[in-house]
Amino acid sequence: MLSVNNLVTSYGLIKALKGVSLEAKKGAVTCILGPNGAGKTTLMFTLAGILTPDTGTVNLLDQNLTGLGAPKILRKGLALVPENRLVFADLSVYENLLAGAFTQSRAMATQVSDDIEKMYDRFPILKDRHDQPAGNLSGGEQQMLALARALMSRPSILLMDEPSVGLSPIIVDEIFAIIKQLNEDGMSILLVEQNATKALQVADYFYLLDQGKVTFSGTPDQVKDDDIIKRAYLGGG
Amino acid sequence: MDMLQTSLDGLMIGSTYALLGLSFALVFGIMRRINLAFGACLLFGASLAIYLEPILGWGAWGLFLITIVGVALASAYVERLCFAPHSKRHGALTAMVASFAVWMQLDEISSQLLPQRTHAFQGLEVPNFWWGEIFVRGDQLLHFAIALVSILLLYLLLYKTRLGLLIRATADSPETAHLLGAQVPWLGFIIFLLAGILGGVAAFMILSADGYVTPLFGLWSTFKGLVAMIIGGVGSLMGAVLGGLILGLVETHAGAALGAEFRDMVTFGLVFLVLIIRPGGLMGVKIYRTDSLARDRV
Amino acid sequence: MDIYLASVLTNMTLIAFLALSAYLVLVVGEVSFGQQAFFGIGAYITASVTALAGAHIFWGLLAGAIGGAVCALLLGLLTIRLSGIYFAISTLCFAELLRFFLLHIRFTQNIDGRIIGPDGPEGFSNIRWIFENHYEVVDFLLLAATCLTILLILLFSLERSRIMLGARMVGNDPILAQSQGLSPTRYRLSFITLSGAVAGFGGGLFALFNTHIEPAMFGVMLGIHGLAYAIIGGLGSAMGPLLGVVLDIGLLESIRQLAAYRMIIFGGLVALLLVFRPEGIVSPRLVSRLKSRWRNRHV
Repeated sequence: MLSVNNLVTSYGLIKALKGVSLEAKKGAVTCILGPNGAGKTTLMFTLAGILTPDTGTVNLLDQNLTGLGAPKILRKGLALVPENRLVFADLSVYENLLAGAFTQSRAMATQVSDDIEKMYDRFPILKDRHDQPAGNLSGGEQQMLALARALMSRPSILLMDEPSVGLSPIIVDEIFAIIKQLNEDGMSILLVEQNATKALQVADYFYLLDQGKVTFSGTPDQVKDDDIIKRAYLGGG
Repeated sequence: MDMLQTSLDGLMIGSTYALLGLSFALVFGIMRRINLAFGACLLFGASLAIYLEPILGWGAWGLFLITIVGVALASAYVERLCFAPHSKRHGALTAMVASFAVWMQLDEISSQLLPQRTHAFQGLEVPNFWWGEIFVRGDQLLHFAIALVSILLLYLLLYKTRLGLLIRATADSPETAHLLGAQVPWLGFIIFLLAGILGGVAAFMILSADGYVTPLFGLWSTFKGLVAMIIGGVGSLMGAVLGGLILGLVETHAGAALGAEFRDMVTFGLVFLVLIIRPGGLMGVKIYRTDSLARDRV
Repeated sequence: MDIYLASVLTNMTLIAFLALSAYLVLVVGEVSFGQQAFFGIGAYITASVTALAGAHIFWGLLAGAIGGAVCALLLGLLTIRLSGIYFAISTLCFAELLRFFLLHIRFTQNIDGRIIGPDGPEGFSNIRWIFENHYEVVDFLLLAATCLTILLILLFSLERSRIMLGARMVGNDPILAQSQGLSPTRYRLSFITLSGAVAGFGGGLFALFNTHIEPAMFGVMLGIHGLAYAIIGGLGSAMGPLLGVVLDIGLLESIRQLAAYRMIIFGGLVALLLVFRPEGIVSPRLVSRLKSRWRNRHV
């Protein structure tokens, strides 16, 4: 569904992505593992259009997304939930959801209202706090809000950058349960995670990104068998 | 020889700017805050010193001492009222406006202490001398020495004491600054006190070199401190020192070449250029778009 | 109406333009120490157009607004990569450089026996529109208040549209806003330019009311005051800066009796107010809550 070919992105003179190729299949949860500094966030930002790649292509369902800015990419159906940068802190929960639907045209106002109601149904805690500033929400609630906001743009594929970071194990379980549910409802998901154990529970396919290159790709079983991954991410052999 | 004379003068003045810049850099570099009341604190210290002088009769060294104490007191007051209550991440703007309000307050108090527009400010009696063809003002040389000593003392504090370690650790990361600020609530207080002391030293040096103080001194010194910090690179302590020295040099040369009127404009033009071309200043403080330093609202 | 009261109210109205212009920049997440320069440019341009060229006040004010907007746009373009304190200081420098420029403009004409025109540090005297048109203080107050009301209506309609939401998104987190499909640069430039227009217009009114302007009037202090009013009033809506102006100037005037100690008390009060209400009076939080209550009023 989303195919990335030989993506190269630089920060000034430093090449953060040195030719990344991967594929996220439709209806699957694809997970990207990797150490800090591997280029995972750079990859996410590039896919979402916040950074422009030097070379390489990004295609979503036969649509070429390469080099289009973030607004156009969002309209074409790719939504990003960034890491650590979850919500508009001073805006209320309601306004955050509205923000997610920003690229929808004015004429769609009713649809947007309906979508917000749907989000409230799916995430009741957001309904409770709908007029509170998003910055007041707990970590887990903010992650949920970020997710709901991304869903407001009615994406075909959802990109998530380290959804478990900074959250307690119980909340992480909740988030991953939601991710699994979203996937079961038909959403394609590209996930960046450090928590490989949790990722193994939901992901269908894995890539390992190291120093700007893909060094491994495989199924969950192959991941469990791989020594490198076992040592680095699953706590030993 | 003229160039040399101008450069020497520039360095002398620059050393005082360096201290002003350091004060700003301490507060902004470590706490990510702009203290708009800074100049007003300096004015208050100087005003208090002059006001008490006839009562205490301690002469120029008395002025020096009281100025420092006055500025330190005012800084502590500002910290408690304007900065301590707004120590969370997004409190920067509110703290700044509160410090502006106290700026007004301190300015008024200073006017009460010194009702006339200009007041004489006695300097240290140090003989002037000639070094070859260069005229050296004795008091400015002494000031330069005092500035050096102050910077050295600050360096020792920051690098040889545990408190200094704490301060430097906080300076390295803005996030840590807020975390540590909460754990060590008096850290902000100490930093403001340090900045106040440095500022007081600088204030005395500048005013005694000029020989008089006017109500405009507050705004003026706030400008200089900010500019020195920006040229050197926001938040960098070494940068603030270098920035101050460079500011002094540029200013003095511009004044000599173009006249006093253009002097200030050259400063503003220089800063504007620095910001557009190399916002990180001399020390090249990095600011990427995704960097939180650039994102923080003031 | 008592002339003194009318003067105070007129001053409030004029400063409100400045406060609103600071507000417009704050909304997109930046602090500007330079709005007073656009105010000053607007003043000079309006004065020139009405007093020197003898044009109608409408053209004068329009020209003032456009002048402010152009300068602001220029600043915005030059500082396009800057943010936070870097942006703030650059606005300060830009404003002082502009003021330096005003200090050196000399273009006087002798019209009907009077010297009219910008005259360096002496300023621009004899901006006689209000005399020639027999405007009393109260009349001018009405004029200024009407203009302010129109501006407020414009800003409120902006508030209801998604433009304001977009601006606040950019102000909260530009990168996140980008990931939601906005262009932070475009919002920044637009709002900065708009702020210049608003300040320029206010400056034009100021010139007409004062009949004499000089560069010293448009220094940093004026700008920081405008900024302070906006923040104390709260950034939740355009009413905030307005409230800030009314409160501050009103409070200041009401303790006028205390003469010299005015600023001492006032400064302390403001700092205290901020301790208890750090987000200002009309805070975004408050406005969100009011909006949601209105939205759910039938529930």
